[in-house]
Amino acid sequence: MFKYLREYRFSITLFLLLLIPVISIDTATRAPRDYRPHDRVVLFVTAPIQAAISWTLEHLVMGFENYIFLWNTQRDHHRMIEENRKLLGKFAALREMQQENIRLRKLLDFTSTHQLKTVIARVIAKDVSSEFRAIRINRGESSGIRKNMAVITNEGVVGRVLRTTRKTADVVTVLDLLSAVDSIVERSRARGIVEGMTDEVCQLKFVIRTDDIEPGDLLITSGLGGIFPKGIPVGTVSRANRKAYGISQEVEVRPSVDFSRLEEVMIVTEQSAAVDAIEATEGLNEAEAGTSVEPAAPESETKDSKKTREKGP
Amino acid sequence: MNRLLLRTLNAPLLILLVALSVAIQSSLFQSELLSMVQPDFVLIAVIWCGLRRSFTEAAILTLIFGEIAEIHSSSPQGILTLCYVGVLLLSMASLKLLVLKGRRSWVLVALAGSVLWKGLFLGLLYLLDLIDNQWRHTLLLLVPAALSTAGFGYVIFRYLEKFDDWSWKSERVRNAIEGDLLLADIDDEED
Repeated sequence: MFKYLREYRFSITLFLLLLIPVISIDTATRAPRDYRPHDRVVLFVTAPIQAAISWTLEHLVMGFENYIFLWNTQRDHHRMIEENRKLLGKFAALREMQQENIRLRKLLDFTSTHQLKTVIARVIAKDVSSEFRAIRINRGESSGIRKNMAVITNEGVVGRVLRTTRKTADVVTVLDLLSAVDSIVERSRARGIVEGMTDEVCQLKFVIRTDDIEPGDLLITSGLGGIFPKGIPVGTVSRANRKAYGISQEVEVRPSVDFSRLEEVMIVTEQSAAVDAIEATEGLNEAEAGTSVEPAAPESETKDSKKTREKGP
Repeated sequence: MNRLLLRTLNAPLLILLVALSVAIQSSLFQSELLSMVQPDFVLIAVIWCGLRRSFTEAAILTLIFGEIAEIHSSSPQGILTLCYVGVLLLSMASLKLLVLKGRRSWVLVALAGSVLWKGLFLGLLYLLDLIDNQWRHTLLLLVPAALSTAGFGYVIFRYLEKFDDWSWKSERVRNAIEGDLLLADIDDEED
């Protein structure tokens, strides 16, 4: 047997030498192989070397790039500064657009909640006088803006349209001395007229001394007068001074709208039938209950109300 | 005793060297530019075995080298080994048929072996229906890879010779020792 093997050693070795890889190919093409234990031993030896060489090469290249190939660095630096300046400008513009987008989205949400048909306008100017606090918007008659239309934001009442041109309109804000908005306290349903007082605070007038009003109470529009839709926030009671005598009390109101950051407003061009119906129903209920006491409206509001009533059915 | 031990360790050390060289080859020549001139260290080792080892020993070592190469490759198992077997047979045949004296002639074998290896590789891929447009790439790299393998082979063969001398595997060293021993025996007899 051994003699036979020795005699044909070359042929047997050659046969095995060719057979082993062929069998390997055959089995490998049938099923993909995984690492076997002896493969893992080889990898255990070679993998750290591969990692070490790669690390060395990487750091060599990095070293060359960082410390030797610096010929164009100054030129690149200037170019990058210029590019950075441009990008910062673009970034600021984009951030501004993002903020504007957020504000407009809020306005749209507010409009859909209150079922109002509105026109969005941008504030383009403020009153030159420090005593009067009107604003000018970039929408006018061509956009369907008419006198005495309500101007609001998603935060609450801004004011009403005082006068219009073809392209612009002046808005009397609730802070203005000419402003008068018929409002009710949301909690106690006490009624009064919100008039402008200072740059930050309004006053609630014609409030009966016995009415339940406390700081923190929210004031909303009553819907009377036909200018403002019912239920729009006007402001929050910041101070209520009930004197021991007299028929009224002094109430200060901080407007819901932050006028220092006012950029976009909505002009209510049409109030929906649903809102009108609610107003009518609530007005009827109040009249039946006899709980509400209609205060004496100021001149401007009274005139508006009269006009509306004359036009109404 | 030391000589015997070193001779025994020659093959395992050669396997280890091949494993290390594969690791270097696969990590040092990974960039696209260097991969164009990537030498095949396994191929050089296989040719060395074909030229300087017995057929059985060379066959076993070639199978092991092929296995090491395949561990570091995603090619189907056996293809690389079969290509290396082909190169081994070529180098052994050239040793039988041609007069190969010195490193320069070995380099020519390495050059031919590299070309043959590529040809076998393409042929096997074709037979296994794994080839698509691979042949263009392989042919493009045929000459640079062959030249690189031959160039590195010239240097590596020199160090492999030294390695064989150091581990008492080289026939030249063994002959020299036997000559020394023979002379020593003659001297003893004369004394």
